[in-house]
Amino acid sequence: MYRLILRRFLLAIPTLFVVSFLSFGIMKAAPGDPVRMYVAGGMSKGSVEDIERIRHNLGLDRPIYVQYIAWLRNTLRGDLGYSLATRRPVAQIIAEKLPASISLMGISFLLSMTIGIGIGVLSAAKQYSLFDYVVTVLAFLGNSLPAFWIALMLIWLFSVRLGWLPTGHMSSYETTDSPILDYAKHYVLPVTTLSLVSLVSWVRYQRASMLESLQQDYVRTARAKGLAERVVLIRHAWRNSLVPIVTLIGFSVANLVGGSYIIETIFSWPGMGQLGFDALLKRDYPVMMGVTLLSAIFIIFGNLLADLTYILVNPQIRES
Amino acid sequence: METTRSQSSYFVLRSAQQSLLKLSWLRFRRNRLAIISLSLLVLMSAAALLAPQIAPYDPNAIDLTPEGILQPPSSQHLFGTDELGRDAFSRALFGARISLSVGFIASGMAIVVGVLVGATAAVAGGWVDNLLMRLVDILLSVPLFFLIMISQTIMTPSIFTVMAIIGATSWMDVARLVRGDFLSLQSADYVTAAVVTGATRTRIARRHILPNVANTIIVAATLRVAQAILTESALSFVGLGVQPPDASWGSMLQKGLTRLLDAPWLVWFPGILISITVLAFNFVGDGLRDALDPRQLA
Amino acid sequence: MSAKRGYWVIILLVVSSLVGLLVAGCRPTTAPPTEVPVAQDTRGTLLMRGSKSSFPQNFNPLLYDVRLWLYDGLVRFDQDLKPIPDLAESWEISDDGLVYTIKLRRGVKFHDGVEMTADDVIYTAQLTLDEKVNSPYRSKFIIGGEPVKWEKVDDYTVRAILPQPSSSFLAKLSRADEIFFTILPKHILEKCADMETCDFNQHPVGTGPFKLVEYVPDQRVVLEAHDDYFQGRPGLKRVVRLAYPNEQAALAALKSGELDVAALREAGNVNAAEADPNLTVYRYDSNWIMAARFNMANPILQDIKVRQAISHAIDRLSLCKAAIGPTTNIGDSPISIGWAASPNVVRYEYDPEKAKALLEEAGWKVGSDGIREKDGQRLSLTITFDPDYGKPDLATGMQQFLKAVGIELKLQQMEPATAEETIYVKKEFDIYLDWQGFGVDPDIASRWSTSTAEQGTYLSNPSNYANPEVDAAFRAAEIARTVEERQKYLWQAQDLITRDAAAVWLYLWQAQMAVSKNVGGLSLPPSIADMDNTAIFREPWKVTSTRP
Repeated sequence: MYRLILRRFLLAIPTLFVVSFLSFGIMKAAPGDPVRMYVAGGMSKGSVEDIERIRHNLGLDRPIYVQYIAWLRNTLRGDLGYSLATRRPVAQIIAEKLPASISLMGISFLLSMTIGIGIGVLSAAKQYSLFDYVVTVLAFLGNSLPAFWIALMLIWLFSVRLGWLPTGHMSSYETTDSPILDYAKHYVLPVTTLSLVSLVSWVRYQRASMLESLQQDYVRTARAKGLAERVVLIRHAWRNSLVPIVTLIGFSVANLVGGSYIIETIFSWPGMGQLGFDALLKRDYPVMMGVTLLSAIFIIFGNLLADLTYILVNPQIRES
Repeated sequence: METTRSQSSYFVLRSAQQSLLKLSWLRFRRNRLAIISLSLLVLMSAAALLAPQIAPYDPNAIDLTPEGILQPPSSQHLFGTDELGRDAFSRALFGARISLSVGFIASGMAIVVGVLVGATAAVAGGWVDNLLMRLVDILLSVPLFFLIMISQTIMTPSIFTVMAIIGATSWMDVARLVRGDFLSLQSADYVTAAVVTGATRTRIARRHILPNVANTIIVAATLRVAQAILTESALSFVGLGVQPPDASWGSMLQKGLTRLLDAPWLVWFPGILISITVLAFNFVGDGLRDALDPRQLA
Repeated sequence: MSAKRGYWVIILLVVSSLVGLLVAGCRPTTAPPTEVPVAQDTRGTLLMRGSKSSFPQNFNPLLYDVRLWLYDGLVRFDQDLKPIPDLAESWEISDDGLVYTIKLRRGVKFHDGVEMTADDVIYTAQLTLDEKVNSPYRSKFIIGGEPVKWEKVDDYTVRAILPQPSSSFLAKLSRADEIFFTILPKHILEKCADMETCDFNQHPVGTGPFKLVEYVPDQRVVLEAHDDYFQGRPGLKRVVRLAYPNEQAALAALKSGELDVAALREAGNVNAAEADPNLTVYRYDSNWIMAARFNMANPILQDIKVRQAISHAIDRLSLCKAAIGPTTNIGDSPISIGWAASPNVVRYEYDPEKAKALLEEAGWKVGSDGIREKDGQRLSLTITFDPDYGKPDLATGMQQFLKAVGIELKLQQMEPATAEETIYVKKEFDIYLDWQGFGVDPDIASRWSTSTAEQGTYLSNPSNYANPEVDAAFRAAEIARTVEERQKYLWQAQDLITRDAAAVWLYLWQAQMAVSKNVGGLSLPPSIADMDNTAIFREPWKVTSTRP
């Protein structure tokens, strides 16, 4: 088992390498030019002379493979370079955005997972009951509206009409609330939006796999032994229904770092989604590569986590 | 006891697929929510197909007179008119074609590729499994917006590009789910039994495992259709969706949001259409899941 | 159910508080917000929306568009776009138009208290011209292939020697939409080894009415009054720019009093702001004009009758009012407002019958599907644009108007960087939709001349438009010695361009500023806007606010 884990861990290195190589190549192959975007930034400035001079100064006139090797060498030394658009260190820019994205995505993830699994288990246990219907309909409703629509409706209701919660940002500029309350208020709407959107997949997968494991023989055996229904549900049925859920966790961990461009834009949330999207539009390669690399690391880490948990909950694999 | 159950489902699968479908349909019909949803989807698809016949106006015809633009819903314009005076009802009808076909085609692509890759990985095992799963890892490691940009810039932007983008970026998790299910079923007793009888790996996968993975695939497929419709609307929201002057429900919603205050009807109708369609797909999927589950026959 | 939800809300609050604490711990700060200074400062605070594009990440004006009130140029522009003194006290131009002798204001202080002198001006000029500094403004100071020479006469006088006369030179000494020449502190910048990574970029020092005190990337920029400002003590104690990428959220913040000023452009939001008794909306037109330009290399479009027909076929006013907003104005030429706008341009009124007649004359006959044909070729064209505000609707409207006279217009929407490359570098389009015009100085030659240094850039003429008379008029305007002379040639150029029907002129950029009642000291319309939406703050040191 440990050898398996170690092997997966070592495999992450070539995977990262391939991701960085592919991303760099595709990015350079796509039309658009960061120097042109920069020189034309805001409205219009510079001439071709300016473009060529700046391109040369920044080393962007070298062949692509030379640029890639330079990038790789610097990255291996821990230097992600400077943003072409803002001339600030990429590591610093990412460090500023990361906490906002991780906290927002993380809270939403934990919230939707716990609620979703809970609802899934209960509605499977009470299949076709009123509770099953009401709860699944509600969960589905949350997932059936586009996220940006939910977000804007929440803003209109709770910020504009009722004035209870702020329209966006992570904290207020001036407030009489304590900092903790202030942060909490800012998190409510985006967290609610993101949780509503992802709730249903947890409910669905949990309900489906729970129904499946309720059909299994060990559950019948447990019931036949006269164990309490609670114990049967939790210890026998639920534990075994977690296998497909575990893969979902891996994906969600992967999402933590990427952020959500749309939600971040609507709530003026200073996160990775906006950072990546802006870098993309400006063809800001160093920032793009930094964001890509970081999310790739998180995804690989998420997969590893999924594998590990999979092994832990699946006794057959654990033993072999 | 264990052997009895596995053998019974084994038997049912082998000899009575016909009656299984019949039984499933009977059970599906009992699920009222699913039946209502299915009828709704059939109706919606019919309306989309017949859009040129049903639509009262040319969906792209503009009317810039003060009496033409931003008219609230009336008997003449059921869904009102937009900022260029186009009839929102006709646009929604034509939009249904785009939204629904994006949903079906993109998710169809995702499912086919996902099932093939997932099943191949699980059945073949060894280095094939490793290679395919690494491919999935790598593709999943590239941020979605990055893939979208590449597709938008390399391919000519069109609704087909949007379908391809959504399909190409959503098969990976299907592949993983299918692989996971395959792996856990491979250790199931009736499969062991089939192995003992000397069936080949491909045959086991096709005849014994795949039908049992069907419910996972169906859950995933319906989710995918619903999700693809939502993804298309999100792409339209950031300006990477359908190309003007065509409309999808998502792009109508996105345009409408800028007029939320003075023409709220432009958001009501596409919003309602998206949500009931997505809901309906979810309910149908759920109904199918329950109805098709072979283990509930016992 | 409800009890359960309450439970979750509590958990949510607890969890988010914990994360909040965590995040608060590592919040990046430039400097802690300064405490209220000694004595009673009764001046107010202004909370304004910093839209995404105007939200700086780097405060070095040589490298980044810093649209804040930290710096001053030598020259500024009044509301009629006439140059007036700023850090310069006065200037003298030699009779041959080559030597500019500029007297500087005395006693101007940088934010750190050091006096600004001729050395700082010369140093700023040198940095701008330095090939190693990645300033996109360098070529502005290369005139006719040679750099402008700068000399210090005494501590308060500098001299700029031009290689050839340039009527747009004075504008280049200002801070405006497309130009940036603001005086930087030599005593700080000369210590920088590398301008790219200089500490100054995050801790700027200028002469402007406000100085930077706090900066949280993509969230807020906090400025504080520079009390030694040369025009007098600013009327505001503090200015806070808050990022609101989403316009609805900005409007909601305005209505709830979280924000004092925001530029709005979506008609629904503007209407809502006007309906709010606590808000006033001010409008400023600009000389930025949206236009659909024809590719003259296209054989169909080479025929002036086809271009004229297209111009007559579109109801530009109704289309722009519907697509952009009911208060939008349209233009008829590359220069629409101010002293440089020619009154004699050829205007193309909406007249579909005339359009049809012109097409008939040109030999285009209606085919079986309603689209005209000539020699087996269909009258089909493609319009290329990016999905920027309003462009998709304008293109859609044009498509319908052209269809009515028998022209097929296909729409090609592209992602911005791709559109830029397709239009300006590859020149692959029949018609393209983009901004023309200028911010403050009517130096538009590069967009219409046959060959310029800007070839292949956003400022260029990708449409293959070539008219030797227009080239000559712009050359004459560039070396003109007086405003009257410059005006004469600019008018001539516009008359020629419009006679050629070289573009379909659409709407003028309009800044619509929603302002709450607690703000005073604004520069109200009529005043010509630049794209920066700063017409309202032409004199930022005069602005006041009753917000504590």
